[in-house]
Amino acid sequence: MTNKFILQGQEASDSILTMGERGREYRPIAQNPFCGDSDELRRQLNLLCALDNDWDGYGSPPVKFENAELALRIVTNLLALFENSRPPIQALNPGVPYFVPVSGGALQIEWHLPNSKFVELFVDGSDRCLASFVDEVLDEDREISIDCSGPQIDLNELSKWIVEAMRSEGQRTVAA
Amino acid sequence: MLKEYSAPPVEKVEMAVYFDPLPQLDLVNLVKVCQSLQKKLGPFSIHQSDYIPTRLEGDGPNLGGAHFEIKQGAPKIGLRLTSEARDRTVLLQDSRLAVSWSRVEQESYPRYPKLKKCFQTVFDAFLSSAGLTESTIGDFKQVGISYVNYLPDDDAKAHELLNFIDFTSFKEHEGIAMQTSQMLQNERIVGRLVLDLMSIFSLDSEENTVRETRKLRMNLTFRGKPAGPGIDGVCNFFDRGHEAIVRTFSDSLSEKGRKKFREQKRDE
Repeated sequence: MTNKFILQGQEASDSILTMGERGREYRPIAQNPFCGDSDELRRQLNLLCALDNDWDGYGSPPVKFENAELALRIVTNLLALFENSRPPIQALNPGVPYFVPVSGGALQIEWHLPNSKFVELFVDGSDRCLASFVDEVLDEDREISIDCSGPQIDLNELSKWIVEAMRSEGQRTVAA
Repeated sequence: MLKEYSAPPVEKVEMAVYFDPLPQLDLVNLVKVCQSLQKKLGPFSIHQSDYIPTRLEGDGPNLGGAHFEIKQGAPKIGLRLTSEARDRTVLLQDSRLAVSWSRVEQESYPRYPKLKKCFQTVFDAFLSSAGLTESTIGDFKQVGISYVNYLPDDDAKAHELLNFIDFTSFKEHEGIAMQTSQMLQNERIVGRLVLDLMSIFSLDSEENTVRETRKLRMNLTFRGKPAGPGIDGVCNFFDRGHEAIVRTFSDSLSEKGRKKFREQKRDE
């Protein structure tokens, strides 16, 4: 399943309902039929969008809906890439990531991969997301900025990092 | 006469049967059945499968909702056996047996007769491993055969391989998502053939790394209730489905598509 195209992207955006007047009401952030098995993702993101004001003790609002929607788009597209691939790559699917709220309404997406490797994406409402790859064992990190302004998001580099990290797990197991 | 393709774009073929839930196939017994199948089928690993809803066909018009899903309360546990080469999988639930082949690298498609025989082998092994007979299973509620084809679409022109999509007014089109279906019948309803087209992105292996590529996924699925009883009825249904799928695929191809997938007459 993919929602890479503008029509599908618009469907996702159109169905977003912002916070109600009382500030505590919220509804599902997206009703995109192309998202397939994204119920769990939506559930997690809904929780972050429904955080209390001042959830961090420094006056921060909850995660903004547009950030949650972009996170949903990125994650569903990335997982669909693995799902649509042949079995050896399908087996490297990293699964559902952790979503971490950040003060100011931003959001961080984190995949904790084998061998102390991490792929993280910072979504703060700007047109570009900062993506980073951290290898704690080799003390190595890389960063790129991903253009999220258009209907299609280039996830090639991100998927390469994940494949690299997941394959290293296979190599480690074989070596053991 | 069905056409044959020497370079078919088939990525996955799945054959499945659904029956009334069997209480003897609880989780503990499913694990035992899988372990027994492992011994009979060779080096397969066992995994818990994701929840997959069952879509049963009605005889009514296909209005989307007519493909009603049976959720039967809580998601049911299923177990999946995956071959060492990852090209074959067997899915087992208390009401379902599905056998599938997937293309792993550039190996050739093993052809339908071989896949049908493989299904029969797994079905027989399943019966003996579970201590079941065909009469214990009773009527098959539904049988399905599905072909997943990937048409290369790096240049967003995969639709030119098909003869029923005209994008004269959409030269810069961004993707395709469409589904259609028809009931196949002679004196009675035989089953429903569903054509599903979707632009997708996938990862292709490239030396030690991967590359994102664009494809047009063309699913052809034939589902319904078999006319005859037992595994013979199931195999007849698969034959009918295979014929309908290949014929529809052939009829859907443009001249460019016929050349691309190297159409030829079938040796029978």
